[in-house]
Amino acid sequence: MQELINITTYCLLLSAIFWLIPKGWRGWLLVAGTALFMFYNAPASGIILALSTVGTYWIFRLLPSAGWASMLVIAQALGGFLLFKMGWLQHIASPLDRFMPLGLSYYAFRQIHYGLEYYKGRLPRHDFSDFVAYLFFLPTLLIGPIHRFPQFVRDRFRQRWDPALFSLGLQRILYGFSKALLIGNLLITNYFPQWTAPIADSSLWLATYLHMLEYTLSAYFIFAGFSDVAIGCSYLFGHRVMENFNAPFLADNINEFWNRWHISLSSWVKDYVFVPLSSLTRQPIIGILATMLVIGLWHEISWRYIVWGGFHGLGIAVWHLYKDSELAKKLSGWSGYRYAYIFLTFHFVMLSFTFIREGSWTAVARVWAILFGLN
Amino acid sequence: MYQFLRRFCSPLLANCLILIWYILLLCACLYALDAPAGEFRYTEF
Repeated sequence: MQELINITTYCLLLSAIFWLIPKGWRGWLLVAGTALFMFYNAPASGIILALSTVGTYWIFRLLPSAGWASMLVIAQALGGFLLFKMGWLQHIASPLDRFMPLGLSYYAFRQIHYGLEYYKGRLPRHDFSDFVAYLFFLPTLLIGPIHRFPQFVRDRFRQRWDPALFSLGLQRILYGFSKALLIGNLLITNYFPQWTAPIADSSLWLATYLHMLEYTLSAYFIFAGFSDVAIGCSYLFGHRVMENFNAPFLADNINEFWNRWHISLSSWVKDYVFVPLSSLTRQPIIGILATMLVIGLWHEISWRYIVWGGFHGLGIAVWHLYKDSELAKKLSGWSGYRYAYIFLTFHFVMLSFTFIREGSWTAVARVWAILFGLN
Repeated sequence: MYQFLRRFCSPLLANCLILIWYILLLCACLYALDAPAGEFRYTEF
C-alpha cells in the first residue's frame, strides 16, 4: 500500500506544477517526473524502461518497413516481458526494485499495442514526446489500466485546466483508497475472519468457503481500489483513461464477467488475440481458450496461472455452448434465473481462485474435496 | 451525491455534508493504514 500512497502524493505535487507551466512543457514535465520517481525508487527498472522506450523510437525511425519495425518492437517488448516474468533478471534488481519491474507487464502490453496499431496504420498524428509521455505516464505505469494510445493523444491535444475533472480525480482517489484500504484490507482481510470465526469453527466446509470468499472479495476491492486511484491520478493531469471494473460480481455469466473485470486487459486480448485468432481459424472456441491462456500468462508464467486461464476459457466455451441450448431457453422463462446465474458465476470465479491461492496441487485438491463434500 | 442532497437541503448544506463525508472517509482511510496487509498483492503482477 505504501507504494500507492507515495505515487499518489507525488502525482498530487506534480499535477500542481503541471498546470502552472506552459502547455508545451507539460508532456516533458510528466516524463521527467516519472523518470525521476523511477530512478529514485527503482534505478534498474528506470534504466530498462528508458532503454526500451528509446529503442522502440529508433526502430520505428530507422526501419523503413512498418511490418519489420512493428515485429521488432513486439519482439523487444515480449522479450523484456518474458525475461522478467521468468525471473531471469531478478538478480540485477536492487531490493527496492522488488515492486517496480512489475509495472513492466502493463508497460510491455502498451508497447505491443503501439507496435500493432503502427503496423495497421491506425495511430493518430503524434511526435516523440507523445510517445514517451504515453509509455512514461506515472499514474498508470505500475498498476494499469492498460490505456490506449489514440485516446491518450486526443487528451493531450485537448488538454486544458478543468476544475471539474480535477475534483473528480481527487474524489476518485479518495474512493479508491476507501475501497482498497478500508473495505478490501481492513474490513475484509482483517475483520471478516474475526467476525466469522465462531461460524467457521463449527464446520470445515464453512471455514474453507469463508476463506475463499474473503480472498475473492479482497482481491476485487483491493485491485478495483488501486485502479480507481490510478484513474483518479490520471484525471489530475487531464487524461481520461479507460475504466477497469464495472461491478464484475453482478455478471450473470462468465463471458460477461470478463467484460466487467480488468476491462483494459480483457479488451486488449480481445482485440489482439481473440479477434485475429478467431478470424484465422474460424473457430471461436480456439480464440477463447488462447485468449484466456494469454490472460493467465500475463499474470505469471506458471502452471497455476495456465490452469486458471484454461479453467476460465473452458467456462466461457461451455457458456457459449449452453446459452443456445434448449435447457437455457427453458430456464430463461423462470423469474429467478438471472440471480441463479449471478450466484453460479460468482462461485465459478471464487473456485478458480483456488488455483492461484493455494500453494500446491495437493492443497487445491484438498480445498475442492472439502467444498464438494468429498473429504 | 450533490444532486441527491439538493432534493432535501440548500446548496450550502449539501456542500457541507459532502465535505463532512469526504473528511470521514479520509479519517477512516488513515485509520485503516495501520491494518496489516493481507495475502493478496495485485501490484506483484
